[in-house]
Amino acid sequence: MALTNEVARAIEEVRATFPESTVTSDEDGSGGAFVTVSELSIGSRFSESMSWLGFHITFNYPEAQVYPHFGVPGLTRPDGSEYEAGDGIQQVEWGPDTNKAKATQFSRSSTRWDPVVDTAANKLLRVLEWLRDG
Amino acid sequence: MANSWKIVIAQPHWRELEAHLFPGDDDEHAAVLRCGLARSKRGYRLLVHDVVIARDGVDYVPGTRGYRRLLPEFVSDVAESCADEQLIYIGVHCHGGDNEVEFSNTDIASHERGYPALLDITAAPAVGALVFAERAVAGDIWLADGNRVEISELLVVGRPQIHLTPQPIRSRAAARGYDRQVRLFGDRGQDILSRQKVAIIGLGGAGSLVSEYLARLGVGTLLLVDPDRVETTNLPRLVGARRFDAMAWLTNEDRPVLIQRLGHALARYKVDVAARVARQASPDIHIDTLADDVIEPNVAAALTDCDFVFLCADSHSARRLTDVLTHQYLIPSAEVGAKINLDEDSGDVTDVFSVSRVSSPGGGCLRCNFLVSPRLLQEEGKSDGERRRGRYLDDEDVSSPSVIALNAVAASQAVDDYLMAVTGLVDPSVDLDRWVGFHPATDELEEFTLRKDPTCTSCGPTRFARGDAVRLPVRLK
Ligand SMILES: [Zn+2]
Repeated sequence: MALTNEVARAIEEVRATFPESTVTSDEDGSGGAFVTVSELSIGSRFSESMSWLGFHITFNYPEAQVYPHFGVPGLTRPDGSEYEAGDGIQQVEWGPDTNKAKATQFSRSSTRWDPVVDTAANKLLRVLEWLRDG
Repeated sequence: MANSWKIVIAQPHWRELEAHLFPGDDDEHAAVLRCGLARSKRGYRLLVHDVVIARDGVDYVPGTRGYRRLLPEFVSDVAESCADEQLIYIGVHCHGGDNEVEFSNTDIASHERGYPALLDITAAPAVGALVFAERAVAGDIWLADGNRVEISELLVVGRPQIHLTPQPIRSRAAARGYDRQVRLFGDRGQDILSRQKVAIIGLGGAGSLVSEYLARLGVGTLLLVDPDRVETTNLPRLVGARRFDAMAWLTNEDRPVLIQRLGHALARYKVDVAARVARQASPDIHIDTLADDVIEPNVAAALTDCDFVFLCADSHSARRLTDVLTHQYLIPSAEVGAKINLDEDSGDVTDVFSVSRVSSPGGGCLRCNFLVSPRLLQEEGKSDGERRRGRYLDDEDVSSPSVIALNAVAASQAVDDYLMAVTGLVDPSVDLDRWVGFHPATDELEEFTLRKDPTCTSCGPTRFARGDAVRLPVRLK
C-alpha cells in the first residue's frame, strides 16, 4: 500500500501549516489517507474549546475536495444544547471501515473547489475559522 | 507490429504545422515537434505535445551542405527545453511531392552527424526526424539503445482523422457482408474500422447499444469494462440480455433474502452479455472483457492504447479518467447518456434529455465544462461503508429513471460522430468537438459552446500528450 504523490504532499503541507500539532495519517488502501491533526483551538461555540480535527484525503485529491471534517464526539453548544444537521454539525462514526469511531462531523463543502489553489491545509484553516467564528 | 512506431498529433497542432509547412510557396520549411511517449503491446506512439516553429530566414536558413539548415542555437534551445520537460525532440521539414516521400542523403547524413549528441542533450529514450510531402510522411527515429526505426504512420486525431504514411497503402477488400456500408465509406473505411481498438466503459443501457453498433460496423477489437452483473430491472434496456442472465427466478422479491443474494452473485456480468451479442454480430471480432471498476490501475492501463473511448457510465472518477485519456494519450472520446431530472420535492419530471459529448485531444474536456464535480470525486474516493456513515447523501440507493429509446438516441449520435471522424467522411470545416443534447419533452436540440481552462489539471499542459510520463488518476494498490 502507498499514498499518491499528491496525497503525500498534502499531508506534508498540513504538517508544515500546523507545526505545533501532531499529525497522524492512516492509509486508506486506495492511495488516500485518513488524517488527524491534534489539539486545535476551536473557539467558544462548543462544549469544548480544544479538539482534534480529522479528514479523508482520497486518491482523487486534489481534483476531489477535502470534505467533510470531523472532531471529538459529542460536541454541543456551550449550554449543552445540540446542534442540528442543518447547522452543518452532526454526530456520526468516522474513520476506516476497520477502525471507525464516534465523531462530530462538520460539513463545509467548497462549491468552487479549485485543485490549483485549494489544498487540504488551507481547507482545514477555513474550517477552523468557521468553527471559531460561525 | 509490437515494435512499430507511430506519431499521433491532435488536429489543432496538425493545422498549425500544416499551415507552416505548406503555405503554398512550394518551398521547404521546418519545425520541431516536442513529444511524449506511450508504449503498449500495440507498439510505440510519439504524442505531439507542441509544435515549435522554426522561423524562415531566422531559425531555418540557407545551408552549406544542404538546401536549408536549422541554426545550431535553435536546435540546442529546443533540445534543452525537451530535456527540462522530459519530452522527445522530433525535427520536421517538408519536401516537394504529393503522396510519397523519403529522406534525402543530405538529410540522413545530417541525422548521423547530429542525433547522437541530441540523444545526449535531451536524455530522452529517442530523438528523430520526419519529412513531409503534402500527403505523405516518413520518419527516422533514433533510440537511446542504439537502434534506429522508421515510423509506420502519422495519425491526425480530430474530425476528420487523417492517416499519413511514407507511400500510399492498399486497403484490404472488405468482406462481402459489409457491401452496403462499404458503399458509404469504402474498403479503406472498412479497413480502418477493422484495425480499431475501441473501449466502452459501462455496458448498461447506453453502453450495450454502443457495443452492438460497433460490432456490427466491423470494429476489430472491443475492450468492455463494467463491474456490474445483470439485474432484472436492467432487462428492458440491456441489448441481448435474457431473464436467465439476471437469475430472475432467484432474485425475485418473494424469495428468501439468502436466495436473492445467491441469485445476484450468479447473475451474468454485463460485459459478458455484451460480448455474446458482439460475437453474434461479428464472428471475427476480438473482445477483451474486464468486469472491474475502470479506476482500478490495471483496467485504466488497458485503456491507454485504444483508438477511441466511449464513456457510458455515470461516475465522476470515470469522467476524469476519460478526460485524461483524451488529452494525455490523445485518444478521442464520447460521453454518452440520457438523464431524467426530477423535482426534489414533488418528484415531477423537470427535464428529459439524451446527450452525446464527442471530444478530441486539444478540445473538449468534461472537467473544463463543470461536468466533473470535486464533491462527487471525494464521495467516490470513499468506501461504501464510509459513505453511508456520513449520511450526507440522502438520496443514496434511489434509482433514477432510465429508458431505452433515450439511450439509443445518445448512443447512435455518438457512434455516428465516431464513424464519420475515423473514416474521414466528416467535412474538415466542422468543429473539433461535437456536444449535442436532445430534449424530447420540449423538442429542443441543444448544441454546446465549450469552455477551456488553460490551467486545467486534466487537459492542460501538465498532462497534454505526456503519455506514460504522468500517472493516471486511478486508485493506488
Ligand atoms: Zn480541461
